[in-house]
Amino acid sequence: MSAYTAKQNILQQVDGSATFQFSTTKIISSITGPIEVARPRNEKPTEAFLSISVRPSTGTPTTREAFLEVKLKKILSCMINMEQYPLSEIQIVVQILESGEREQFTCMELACAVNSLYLALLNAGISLKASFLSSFCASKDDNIIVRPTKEELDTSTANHLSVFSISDGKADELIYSDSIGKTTETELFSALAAISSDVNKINETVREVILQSVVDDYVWKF
Amino acid sequence: MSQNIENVQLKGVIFSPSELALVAPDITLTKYIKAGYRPSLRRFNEFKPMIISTAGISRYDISLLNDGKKINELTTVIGSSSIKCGGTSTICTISAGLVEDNFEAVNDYRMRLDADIIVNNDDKNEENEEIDNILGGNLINKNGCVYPVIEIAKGTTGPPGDEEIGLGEKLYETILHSGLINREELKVDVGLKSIDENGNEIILRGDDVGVIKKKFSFVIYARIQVFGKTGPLFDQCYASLVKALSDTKLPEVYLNERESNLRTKSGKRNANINIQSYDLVCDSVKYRKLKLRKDRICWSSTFGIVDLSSLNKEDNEGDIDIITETEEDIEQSILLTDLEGEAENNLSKRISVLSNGEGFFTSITIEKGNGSRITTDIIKQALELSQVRAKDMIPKF
Amino acid sequence: MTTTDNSLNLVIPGDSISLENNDISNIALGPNVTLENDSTLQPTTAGLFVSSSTKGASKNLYYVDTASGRYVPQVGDLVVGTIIGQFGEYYRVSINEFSKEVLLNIFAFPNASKKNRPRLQVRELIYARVSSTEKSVDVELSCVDPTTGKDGGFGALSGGYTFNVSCAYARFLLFTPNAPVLKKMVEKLQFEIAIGVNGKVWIKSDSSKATMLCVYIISESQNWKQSEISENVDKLIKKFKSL
Repeated sequence: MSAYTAKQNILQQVDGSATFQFSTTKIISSITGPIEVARPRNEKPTEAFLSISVRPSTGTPTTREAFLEVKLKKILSCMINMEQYPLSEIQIVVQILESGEREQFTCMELACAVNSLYLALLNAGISLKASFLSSFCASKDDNIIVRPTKEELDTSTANHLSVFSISDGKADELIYSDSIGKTTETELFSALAAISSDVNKINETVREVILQSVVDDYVWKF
Repeated sequence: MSQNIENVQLKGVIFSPSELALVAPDITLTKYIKAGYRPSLRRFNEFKPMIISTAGISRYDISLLNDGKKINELTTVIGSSSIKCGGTSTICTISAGLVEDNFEAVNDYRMRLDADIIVNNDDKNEENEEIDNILGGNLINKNGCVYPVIEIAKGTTGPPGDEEIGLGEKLYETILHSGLINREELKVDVGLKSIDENGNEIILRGDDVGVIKKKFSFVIYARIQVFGKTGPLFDQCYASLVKALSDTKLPEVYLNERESNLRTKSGKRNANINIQSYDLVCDSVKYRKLKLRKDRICWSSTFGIVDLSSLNKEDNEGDIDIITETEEDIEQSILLTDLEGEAENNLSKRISVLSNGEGFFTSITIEKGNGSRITTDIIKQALELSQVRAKDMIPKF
Repeated sequence: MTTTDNSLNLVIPGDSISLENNDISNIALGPNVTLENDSTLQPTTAGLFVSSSTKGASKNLYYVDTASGRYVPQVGDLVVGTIIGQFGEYYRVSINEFSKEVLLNIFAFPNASKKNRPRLQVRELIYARVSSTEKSVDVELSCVDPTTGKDGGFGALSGGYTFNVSCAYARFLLFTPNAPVLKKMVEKLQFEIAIGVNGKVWIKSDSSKATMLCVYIISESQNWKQSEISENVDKLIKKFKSL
């Protein structure tokens, strides 16, 4: 299992930013908003418009990144209180610093992006329905490997990524789950169980990071 | 202010069902669901019939339209399919290209550095492993892939939108990871076209063809056109792609003898450089069928889930066996198959399953969207229902 | 570790906060909290949970205070803005980078008439009050004190220097009587200050050098504990004097 690190408030010129790292995968994301909608056609009368752009670690964005954007939009739009920001835009930029996986896979980057965005959204003070975190696992010969390495992912038969909401410090609801490769029903459920317990584990550290960052913001109060 | 309030009169506005469906699709949907039906008048778990056929427009199709000729010389399409499901038609055409397997760059020092394989070993197996590593490890080495492009006819032109890119990328991902195509199957056995003593054309293969050191593979492209979108398209796109792939016939490839080897003087120092330039020719008549891994052929089913907070049981006169009851018995989630129409299309709570009908799945996507909690029950139901559907539909490929 | 200190009441979304008294008719919800059910609240962002029952007021107020995030105008907020243009009877004012500009009526000044009104130039700074934030309509500012009808300290700010602090710190400086850092500065320095809850602070002193000193002290004091203020301010003043 790979280690992870998280840090909030990295960039000064945006409203919220954070980095998240899963051993070899590192992502920095930034949030600007709620701001005026950049293109009038994107304006929604009742809710916020999420403009998400994913930048790869090398080269220009391709359809692979566009697909990640589609997935992130699905995950984020049900976690943000969208109706609180009518007629406005929330700009989300995800820069992959180190990919850590082959281009044929996306689970490491997606999990890392979700986690960094969670931290960045909190840092930007965007209203959220609940906390959420993501993790991934690979399955091979009936074994579940939580947060596999690049090589383990290569030789696996299937990989699973899930996002869970967090309520009172524990993984609660399943928000999003994506399994690809040859899998079975039992494997799916054991993967979901493994990921949710891993999310609990990640949450312990992430919670400390968030609360420490809040305390740092209020240094002058004490 | 208080005076204004006194004057307020509330008048009931009556919409006809068709108007209400436009004004408030979600309310219409709830009304239908409470009555036990869907706006399309299908049952909750009733699938739409789907007509799957080959389009008969590919090169190696023997068709009556083609004057009984063996090949359709006008096209480079090597596999095709046509799918009709309700008002939606999907046409998929397959074409292919040839690519060198072990390209020069493999031996480039920088590429090795990137792939963490700096080894000084001339062992041939090692070399093969290196190549595998650069090409994408075990997965890519075993599984072939398809590069699909989706076009949804909207009456406008322009670059592909989010939906089209999403569909294309998801198809690529599922085909690649499911292992539907064996990579070996895409490898090209290059023959050498020559003329024997009697003046007949022969094709030499294997050891007889000494000059060819390089290996080639087919790269498969798919173009999927969708007309008349009424709901989520992934199921239809996947079905049309699999059908077209099962219809795909790869041409025989051989080398034109004349240009098999070329020695030339070039470069800065006028050094002798051995450029192997190949003129690969695809046979216009001979072909082999692309074999798919039978057990990996799946059927895709996308389910929408409706949450009803206070479903009055007395309203349900029909025997609706798909309704689940959560512990509290207040909220009910209902699985809808083959979403159709605006209201159902707006459901963001979805489960999409690719099942082979024999207990295996090659892709499962669960999206909670704006609905209520996703229960284990509903996931199990979706998986089960998709198996039933897959068993039913896979023989039709 | 400070984070585990429960007296601070640090919360993140997903933590349920149970209310002591279950009477929901008696509570008022401030920013960043939603009512989950009759007896629990849900924070919508990470921050300090504050529950206060002011004497005399019948309702208990609950909210989550957060230092981060973009400023969103609310009626009654005191803001520092820049005039960025004029059209018709309005000035266009920017109160936040990249946010939608807000409006200031050219007659929204005490005793303003067609002939006699302040003529503000583009790029000029103003101190104003948010007078309306209707949905789907541009936010409007006013330079009139609604209770007295007089200027109440609002109007153009000439000279000086504006800079950004976090919104929470700006609120703290503005609403805390005798904010420690300002109190300390008043002892040693002479300056004029205008604090906007949009995170902008305008400050003006006798000389540019003194102004920069004030700017430096205030923006640096965001990272000081209260106990360090006195020492740090003295240190900075000393450093500036030697320049």
